[in-house]
Amino acid sequence: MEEKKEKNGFEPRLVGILCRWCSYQGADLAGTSRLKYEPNMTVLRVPCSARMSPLFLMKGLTSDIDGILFSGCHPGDCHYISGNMNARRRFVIFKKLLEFAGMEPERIQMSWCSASEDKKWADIVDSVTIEVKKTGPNNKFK
Amino acid sequence: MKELIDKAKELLKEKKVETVIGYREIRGCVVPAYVDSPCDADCLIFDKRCVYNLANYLKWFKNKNVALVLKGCDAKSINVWLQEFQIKRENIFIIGVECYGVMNEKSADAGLSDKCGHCEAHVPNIYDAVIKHQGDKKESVQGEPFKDIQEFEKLPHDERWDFWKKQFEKCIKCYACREICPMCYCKECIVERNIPQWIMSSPSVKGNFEWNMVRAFHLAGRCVECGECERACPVNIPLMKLNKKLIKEMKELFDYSAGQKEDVKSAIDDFYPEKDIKIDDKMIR
Ligand code: SF4
Ligand code: SF4
Ligand code: FES
Repeated sequence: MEEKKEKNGFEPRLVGILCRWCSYQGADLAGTSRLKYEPNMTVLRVPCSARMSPLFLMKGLTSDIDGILFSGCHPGDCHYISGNMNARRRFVIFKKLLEFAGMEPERIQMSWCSASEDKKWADIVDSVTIEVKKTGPNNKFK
Repeated sequence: MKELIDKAKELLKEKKVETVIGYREIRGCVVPAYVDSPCDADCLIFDKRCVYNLANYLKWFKNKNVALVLKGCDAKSINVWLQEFQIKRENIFIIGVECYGVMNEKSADAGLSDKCGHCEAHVPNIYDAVIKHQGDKKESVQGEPFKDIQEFEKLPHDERWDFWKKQFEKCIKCYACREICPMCYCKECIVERNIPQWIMSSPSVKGNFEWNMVRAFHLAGRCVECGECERACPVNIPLMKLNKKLIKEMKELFDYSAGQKEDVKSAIDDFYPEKDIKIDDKMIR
């Protein structure tokens, strides 16, 4: 770990907020199928993407987290029928607001990922990590 | 004016309402007035100094029979209250007033308020009686209503951040913006919850950013652009800039503007799967 840090310089701290029916399972599958992907993300499990409150995103950013990925079931696949539809609207509006206030858009991201998409999950985490690395550390509240 | 006073007297005499909430003048200042007997109704006035949004008083008169004197922008907040099942339509009597702009309290030259520039609701969209406007009717300035927002969006993000950081630094966490907003009616506000404490109560960079973001977000799709929060803010933070941004996004993304009808769902707890899918390409992986 130490060695890696020195090589790349900045290692972002990421948080993933995942729906327990899909993305969380997808991430689990990625683990069991031994896919290699960036280890920067700490995962939080929520019962449905609709549990995501914008407060989560905001609290993460003000606690110096470098990036937050929020992921739920594909539209139409939500276990509770329409939770992800509401979550999408909320997320999009809040992201626009944070951007307007000067937050870099790369720090707050959302994805759809199902329980069988382990490859997609690994790709998402990789690309989010790269984007946040490029953006640099979040020291707006330091 | 006579029309307004007569209407108030009639309502109170016939006992249709318990109180009429309107405006009156005391020593040259316009203040809100509670009128509960017909003989007091003579004090009621309406002119361009009547800037307050009286819908805010519904917080205290929720289950009573009241009549409210409301301008076009204020009446929209009644629609939001109805959408969110906070009041019963039959409990309130809306005396709508036709309005062609109120003055700007904060600027010395006393021109029209900024919010009136692009007003589309000179006549309220919900009322039981309407008081006609006397004198000349000046139409609103036409043009792009979100020009300042679009210009601000074009700035690089660190400039935007610096701007808001400077603005939010001033916030003293007095919560006047919340108290005056007719849409902020929760008995227990998220800032007052301390287990868990989502919003730091100290007026620090973090705490102020959290508060101002959450305040603005909780009004997404609900803010009726009455401008009261900005007027009440003792340290002149341009809160309408945040509100207008959200109004713009609501319009562009979801084709929704707040307070137009009483029987639709608010955009933030509604969705249209076919239309919303368009968002995915740009914002969702
Ligand atoms: S946020 Fe401000 S402009 Fe919007 S409804 Fe509340 S007080 Fe009025
Ligand atoms: S009114 Fe102004 S100073 Fe008071 S809490 Fe709101 S933004 Fe802060
Ligand atoms: S159950 Fe996965 S988004 Fe609702």
